[in-house]
Amino acid sequence: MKKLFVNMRYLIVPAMSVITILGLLSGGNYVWTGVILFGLCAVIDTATKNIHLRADFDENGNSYGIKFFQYGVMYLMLVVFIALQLALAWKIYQYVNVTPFNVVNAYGLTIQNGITTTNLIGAVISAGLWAGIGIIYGHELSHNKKEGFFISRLIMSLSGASHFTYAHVYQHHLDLAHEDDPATAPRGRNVYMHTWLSHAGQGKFSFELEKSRLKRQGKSFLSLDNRWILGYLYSLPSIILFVWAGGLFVGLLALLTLWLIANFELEALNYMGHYGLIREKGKPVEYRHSWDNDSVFTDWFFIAIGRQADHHVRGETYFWELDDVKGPNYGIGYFSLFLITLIPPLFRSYMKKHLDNWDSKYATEEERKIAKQYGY
Amino acid sequence: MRQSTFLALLLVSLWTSLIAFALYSFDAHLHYRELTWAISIGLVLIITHMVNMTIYFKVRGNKPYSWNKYKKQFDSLKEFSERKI
Amino acid sequence: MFNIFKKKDLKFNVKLEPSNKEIVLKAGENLLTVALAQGIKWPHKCRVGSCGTCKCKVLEGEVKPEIDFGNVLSPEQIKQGFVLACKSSPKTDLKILIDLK
Repeated sequence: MKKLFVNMRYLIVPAMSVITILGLLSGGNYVWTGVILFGLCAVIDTATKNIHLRADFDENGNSYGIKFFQYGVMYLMLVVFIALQLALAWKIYQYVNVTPFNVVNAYGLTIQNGITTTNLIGAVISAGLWAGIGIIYGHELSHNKKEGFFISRLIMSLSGASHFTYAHVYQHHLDLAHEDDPATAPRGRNVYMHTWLSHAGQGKFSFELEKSRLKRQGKSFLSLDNRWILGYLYSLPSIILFVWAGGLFVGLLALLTLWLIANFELEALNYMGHYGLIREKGKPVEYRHSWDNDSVFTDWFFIAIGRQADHHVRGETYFWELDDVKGPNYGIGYFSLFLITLIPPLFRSYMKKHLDNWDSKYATEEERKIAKQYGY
Repeated sequence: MRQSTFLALLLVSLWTSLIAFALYSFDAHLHYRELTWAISIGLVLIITHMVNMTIYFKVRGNKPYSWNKYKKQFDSLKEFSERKI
Repeated sequence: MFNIFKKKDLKFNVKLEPSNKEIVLKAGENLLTVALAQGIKWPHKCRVGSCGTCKCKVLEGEVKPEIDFGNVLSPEQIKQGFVLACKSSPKTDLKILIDLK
């Protein structure tokens, strides 16, 4: 029973993603389902912020997680996120075609054809919010063998961020909490600026990585051996779909909005995970170089991505085995913190006590010296 | 605004506008429902994006990622020395 | 194919050279994780297969790679049998060359 519960509790996102898709397909005001679900998650996350659970192991020290099942779900999520884009593209198609409003019944679903401008906006936001959550699977699979790594690239390519898979493993995990890591936000930077700089910085890393790799191999940068270029080509089907469905204005605008929301969520996770933390170059990554957000709903929803401290020290560990390692912890969930980050002065004010605590209790003398150099 | 930021924005805007004008000139906005056109437009757009990112990387270099710009400005040494660490 | 449903209770002996230390791993267990848990001071840093610090040479036996080693190790190193311990699990008993100093 415990084994079943431990494995099923990580199905919140798959279930809600499918409900969002059904909402899009149902049409009418149901297209806002994704937005409503997101809001509901924020409420649940805030209400359960004081509940923290440890990783579960049986009496023999074995994890309850079923690798085959969890990885099967992650691989299937690629299909779910593709379906999400297809559902949105269909509504865009109807909007551009000015499909008459009518109600049909198909496959047990009551479908409202046609869509208003307001509801199209709702549909795009709904899809964007849940497409952005795809990061949790893109992240987990980036730490995997060839097939999983490739699936990660494809999931991230649905948001135009295929470079993430390489940058996360080969840059972020090495340069964490240092200026060389664009995914680590220094103190004083707001989440909006960080979204662009982290996205561009990781893209630049991927660009430079390929440039030097192909030069070493005597190959041309402009070739299909270039994984930076390939990453963008993986995004081509999404672009073609939305251009075909909605044209160069509506279709492209919808896709860009979806990508903006999804990438904002991705970089907000990076932002919250390491904001303001400092590590001396060359020193090993330790628990104190990450912020944990592991209240129960955050932990189950984000498949333990909030256990950043343990993940960065034990990168080989499956997500269901990551634990509370008593590292720096915000004490609230990701949804709650995410809402705070949206108002930069509020976030800075909120972070002051956390950073003061980190400086005095976690930072080494060298790390405090680095903080001084930046005038903290 | 920094000179390199302005240059990057200018080049990106020029390149994107050029592509937009070219697509408009070829009536791409009227033919997008034909699959061949949709694929071609998609390819043009993704190449445009890759060129824009390359322009940004080359022109701005590592400058945007520096943490120096977040150095706090203190009114006095006293404020600096009294801040909590 | 249906082996994946079998309980993973196979055990593998891993002998480390030149230190002559031995560790035992179950099928699917991570080489570096178990070595560190058993007190072996195996050089490591990132534990995600991106720095190469944990690289070792497989003298005998076979490992199951959990990522593409080609992103960190050169083709020559891979040909010589080098693997990244943080992203390897045993497929057979192993004899591994690793400098533990």
